Amino acid sequence: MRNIVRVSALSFLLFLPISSLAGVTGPCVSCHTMHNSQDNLWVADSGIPNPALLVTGCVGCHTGQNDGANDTPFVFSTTPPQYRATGTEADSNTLAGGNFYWVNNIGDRRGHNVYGISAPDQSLNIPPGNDGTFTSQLRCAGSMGCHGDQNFSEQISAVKGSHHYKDHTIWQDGTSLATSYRMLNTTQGMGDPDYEYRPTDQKHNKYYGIDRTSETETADGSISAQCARCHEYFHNGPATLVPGTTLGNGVWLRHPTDFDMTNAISSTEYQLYNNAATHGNNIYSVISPVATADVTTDLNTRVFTNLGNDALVMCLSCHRAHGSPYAGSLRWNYKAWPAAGYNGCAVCHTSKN
Amino acid sequence: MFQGLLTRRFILSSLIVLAAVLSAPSLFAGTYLDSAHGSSSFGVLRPIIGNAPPSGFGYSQGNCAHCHEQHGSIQGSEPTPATGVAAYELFSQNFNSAVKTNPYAESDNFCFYCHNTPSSAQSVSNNDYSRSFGCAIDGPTTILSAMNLTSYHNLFDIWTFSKANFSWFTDYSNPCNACHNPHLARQNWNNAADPTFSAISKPDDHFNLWGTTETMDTTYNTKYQSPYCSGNLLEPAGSTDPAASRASTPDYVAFCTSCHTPTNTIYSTSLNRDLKTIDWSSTGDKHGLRVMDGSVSTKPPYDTPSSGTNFVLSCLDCHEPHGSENVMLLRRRVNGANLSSAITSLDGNGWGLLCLNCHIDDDANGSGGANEWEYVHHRATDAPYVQKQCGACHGGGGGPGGPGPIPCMNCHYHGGVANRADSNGDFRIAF
Repeated sequence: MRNIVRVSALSFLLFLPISSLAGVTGPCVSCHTMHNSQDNLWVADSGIPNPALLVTGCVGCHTGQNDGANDTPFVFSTTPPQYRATGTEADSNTLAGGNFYWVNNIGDRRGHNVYGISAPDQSLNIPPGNDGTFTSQLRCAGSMGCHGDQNFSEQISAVKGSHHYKDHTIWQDGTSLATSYRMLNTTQGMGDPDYEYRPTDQKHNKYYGIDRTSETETADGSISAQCARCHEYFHNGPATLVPGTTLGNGVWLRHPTDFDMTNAISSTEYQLYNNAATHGNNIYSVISPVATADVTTDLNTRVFTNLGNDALVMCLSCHRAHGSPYAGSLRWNYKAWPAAGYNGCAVCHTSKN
Repeated sequence: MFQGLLTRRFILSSLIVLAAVLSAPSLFAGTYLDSAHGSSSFGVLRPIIGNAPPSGFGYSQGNCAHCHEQHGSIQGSEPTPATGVAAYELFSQNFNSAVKTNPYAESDNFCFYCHNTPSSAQSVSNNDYSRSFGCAIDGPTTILSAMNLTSYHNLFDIWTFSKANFSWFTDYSNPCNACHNPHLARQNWNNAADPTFSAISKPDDHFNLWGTTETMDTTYNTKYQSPYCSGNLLEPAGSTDPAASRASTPDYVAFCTSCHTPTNTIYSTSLNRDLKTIDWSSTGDKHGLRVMDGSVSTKPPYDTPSSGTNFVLSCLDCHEPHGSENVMLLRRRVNGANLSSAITSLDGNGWGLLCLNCHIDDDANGSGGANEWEYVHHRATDAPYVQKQCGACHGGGGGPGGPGPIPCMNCHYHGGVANRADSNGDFRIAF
């Protein structure tokens, strides 16, 4: 009966004319239970009351298959999602972050091993690129998670209230959790209302990046800075550049992030980003996207425009934050290339195809 | 009916495959995939990267990860060789500039991790030019072994010169890259007849292959004659057709003279002096475009009237690009014949062992021994010097048995001019 109630509630939720331009709306009962009791049965999925009177937690709400009509973004599926080669195809059904299905069902390195979804990584005790201080299993939110306020250790407390105050129509300036991109606290950006369900160059997330001038610059607010909370050495060094060089003319020791490709002097191949015939106003690629420093609500459908700082390499240029079918949680099957797989690297490294 | 079922299944299968193809984002087959390193069948393969788990990570052959570690690690640690993060995200340092002369060790140059045998990564065999295109028997079979011979293209000197002259070349660049772009270079030795399989990029045009259309044919046409490889077969591909052979030969002159110009001063750490400058123009060397003074008493294929006689040579007709058992990177096989012994000194008459593969010595003329040169200097119809006052040139005044030979290097070197006037009173260009 409890399950019937839940399914009914979710079904009801799916058919609600919920606007994606504002925070969560609809009947409170869709998400909350006042007494954790209905017909003398528990309502909360764990049996015990959840914080904020929620019927379930992050994973419970965000599990499902995306079909383009769902308002709640589903990031974990219990049956195989349709990813295809890059997760952007017209018949794919994953979102910008990918899906946790593969790390849970196939194995490590196909996504983040998030508590409540998958077992801890069998060989990695700390995140790669971490200084060793991050030792617990990753969670969705809170001090050990990506989303929410890191001052809270408990996940629901970390995101409490922010769903209600979300306004997708404004630039997410990161000044509060509700105005942070995807509730990644302090991160700026602008989310696609459909969470990049079958994205195109005209419909996608707008990632925020900073064209850094030194390898240790943390680039606070950028999407890559969020990743650097755990993978810091892969973003803000040290040992990103060879000694004595700078980001503008430097020789990389590790792949750059938060670096505008306009500044790359070693090669002109980046100028033909996304298979452009000529340099300038290149079409934005949803296969290997770039960040921009532009903080307006105008969508960055073009790259290398006269705005400048709009060709910023970021972690998400190559990786899916939640997971993908491919090793390294990469956006495409790099490992199998060139025998098979897909070479998304060539979107930027245009002479390496 | 069964056939109809199969037909329907075939059509259905075809439609599924077609749908899959059409729904996949386009893949562009381009320059890296065409390169030797990018081949999925014979390209780069670092065992720990390419081997199937658990001994490796299972990457496809030709994948970037065999050379580059984008994060300095894979799955949380650095694969072997674990030498720390390195420039250009390579798995090891690109070049050890502290090593100024050979012998080189594998770790001195990133390329040697593969172009070496046995090697720490992927042992790649590369024969020298004499073997690959000149029909010689096996000599050095790897680049590292060639680089550790008597003479070699000094890597430190290339590195130093390139830093000063090519904007793309940095302190952290690999000297091999002055001539090769690893993302473009193709397997030329296995496709000698097709110049599009070029392995070289001009240092001043690093991001393009050189020689794919710029051949000795397009630049010099019949002024260039490919030397023999074996019998009547010509370099580089063993064809009997001179036109096809020169069309298969990259314009090595333009390539090498990107650095070795008439004006560039290039210091050789190996020789402890500046290199001779090279002027291959019509006002430079006779082995280049300068018109000869008279007959040069040449052997086939340079003696046939139909070929003309004012030939221009390709640098690689005489020189190895990487290293040689002979001094000055001289090839061990030239114009279809092996040098009778290694030329290990710049002094004396050893040079003649190279010259006689194309020029008529006294033995070929029937007037004397091998590597004796009285005929061309004194007895040919247009010989430059009459035989009198021997001691003026040969020293010692001659004597019983005739005067001893003058060291070839007195006159015959790039840019060399005879130090004695000929019978017309001219000081001849002697190279």
